[in-house]
Amino acid sequence: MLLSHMANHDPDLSLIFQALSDPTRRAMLAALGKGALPVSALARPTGLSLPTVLRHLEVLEAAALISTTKSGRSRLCAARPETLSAPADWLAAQRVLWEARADRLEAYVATLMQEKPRDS
Amino acid sequence: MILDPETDLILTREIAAPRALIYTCWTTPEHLVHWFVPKPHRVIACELDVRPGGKCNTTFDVEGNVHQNNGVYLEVVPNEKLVYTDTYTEGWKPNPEPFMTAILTFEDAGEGRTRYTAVVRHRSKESADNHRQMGFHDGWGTAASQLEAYAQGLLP
Repeated sequence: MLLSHMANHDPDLSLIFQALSDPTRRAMLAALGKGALPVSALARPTGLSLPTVLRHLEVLEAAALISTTKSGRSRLCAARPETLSAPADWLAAQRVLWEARADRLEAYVATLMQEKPRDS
Repeated sequence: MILDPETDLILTREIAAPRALIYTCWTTPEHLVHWFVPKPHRVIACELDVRPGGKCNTTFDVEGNVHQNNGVYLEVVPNEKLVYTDTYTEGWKPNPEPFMTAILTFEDAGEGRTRYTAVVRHRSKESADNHRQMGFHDGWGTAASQLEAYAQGLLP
């Protein structure tokens, strides 16, 4: 599960959060959510210059949020949704651990209460 | 306290037991070993010196691998609050790979019940990496779900 998943991609949480902090980059990711797109198609709705768009894509790629591949004269961008879930998955795993610990504490305390009823 | 949603978690539970008893379960090795880790994992050693700066050390056997978790208490308010961290070990020796601070509060909820709150604050990337290196995720994730069923079986 998470273990192998993270070992494969080794996402850097700081890079991910930094990449997601920009609305233009979030819009690009959202567009890629429907499928891979060439850079030109990604750039068009932003109205930004190509170098600016490429800079945004670099940030997204460095965070492993997208992958890009050259296809003839154009560059194709694809989302890597597995990276997007990494930080959330990690914290969710910690939550599972502590929730389960609280479950066991509650159950154990219940057995103590049965053995030796005490006053509060 | 302002929590960082990316690295901190908070959970609250109302437990049908007085807070003194829950505090005792957290601060007495004989009790802690029974619930701290999910079976089939075991706490094979536990040393708790319950005072600020006192050691809070547990050793787990996770599928034959021994994991030492050494830390210290930062704040101790009997029956009310415990704060411990693995950022330091006994004697305030810095841990080269610190991971988290746990803040536990036990509030009287009336009628012998307790509002139990755990706030767990983690380092971000480093902590994720450390945890992965310790090989904890797979074992704990699986065991946690198995043990939820086990814990429910214990309830009256």
